[in-house]
Amino acid sequence: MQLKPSILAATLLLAFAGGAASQSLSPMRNDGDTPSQIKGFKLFVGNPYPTKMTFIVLPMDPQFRVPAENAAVNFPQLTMAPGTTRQVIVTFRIDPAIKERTIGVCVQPKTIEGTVMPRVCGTYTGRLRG
Amino acid sequence: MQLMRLAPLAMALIAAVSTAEACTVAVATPGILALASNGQTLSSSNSGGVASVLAISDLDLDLNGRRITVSNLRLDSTPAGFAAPVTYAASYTATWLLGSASGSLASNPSFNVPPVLDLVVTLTLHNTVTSTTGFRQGNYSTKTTVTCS
Amino acid sequence: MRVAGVVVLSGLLLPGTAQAVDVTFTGLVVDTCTIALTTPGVMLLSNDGTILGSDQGLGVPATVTVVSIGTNTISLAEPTLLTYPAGYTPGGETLEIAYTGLASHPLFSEMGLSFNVGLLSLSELFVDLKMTNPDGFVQGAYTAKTVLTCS
Repeated sequence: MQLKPSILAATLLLAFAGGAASQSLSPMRNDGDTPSQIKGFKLFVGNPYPTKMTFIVLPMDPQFRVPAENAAVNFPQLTMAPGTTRQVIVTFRIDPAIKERTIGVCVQPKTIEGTVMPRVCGTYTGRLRG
Repeated sequence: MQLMRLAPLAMALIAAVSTAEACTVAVATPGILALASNGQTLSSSNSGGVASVLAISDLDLDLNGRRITVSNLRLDSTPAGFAAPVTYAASYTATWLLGSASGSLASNPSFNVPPVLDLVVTLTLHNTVTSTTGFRQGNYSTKTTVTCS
Repeated sequence: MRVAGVVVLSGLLLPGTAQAVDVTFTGLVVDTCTIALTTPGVMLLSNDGTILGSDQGLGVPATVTVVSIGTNTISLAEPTLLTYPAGYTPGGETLEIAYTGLASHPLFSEMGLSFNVGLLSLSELFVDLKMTNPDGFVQGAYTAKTVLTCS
């Protein structure tokens, strides 16, 4: 049996993105380039309610009034258990003449009782590279 | 008892080697902090967080056993502008052959392990940082000191 | 489990010396806004029958919980009447909203309202909605809503 010499373990610094736990929409803002005319963003949609909920995810204009054209979300309707988070991808087309486009994405419950309809909306900008 | 038989053998070997060891701490699972849904705690025990799992080995053989202490939990890096007063908490469970221990930073932050050859202690460590005013966006990291003595 | 690695020239360590190692945890917090409607608002009729509101009698304001990281804006849109019973002719009513709690606008407003929030851990906003019609309201169920957006 051998005794190996003392080894001091180095401090390991590991960077991981912690998933946002049951936060309605994350991140709220993002921007990035694309080499093609389509830009996509990964978003996290969470259910902060204590019950199962169905949310609809809509691409909108940057003022969140009208649905955005030439934009789509891979899961426009999400039914989620309480406290869970799902990833959705929003993609939209950028006009090559304008080279930049900003859209909004809003998450709201499909149906909810009461006098307030709560929704969370993010703003995302894509730019044509080159 | 097995331990008694091994001890004299180990002592003889230690005497023959001039460099003594204390212990080797290897990270098996890196710890990940996640934000609670109320925004007030950043912890590995929140949903999405992961406890740090460490393997402690190469412990010095001493008839009195070895003492492992968890201490000095602190925020190591925070995003610019974050200065909220925070409180810290850490908890751990440790297991080794035929033994285990658990505790927290507040009470029982250290435990003893017996002098067994080739002993490996698995330490599962949780870190929690609490700020009643919340955490601004950015990268955070905490550091905890694990000491073998 | 032995970890073979670089031998660190740490000098002679005498038995009984303590070895301290730092263990690091990391986490990333991204800007986000979390909204949950914890109490739906309930509108009740006033004694004189001309106001249907969550601030009347045993009516209940809507409670919204907000968690915000980064700088976000909370806006309440102009309230609108969505459904009403047969026999009621819409047009003569005025809808208004007011809020208190994490931000305060206790004066009722027909127009949309908005305010900024910064870093906010779980906080509550109470939203009142009322409809006024001097000609009164016929019996039946009414739903009115304001869209609360965090962006």
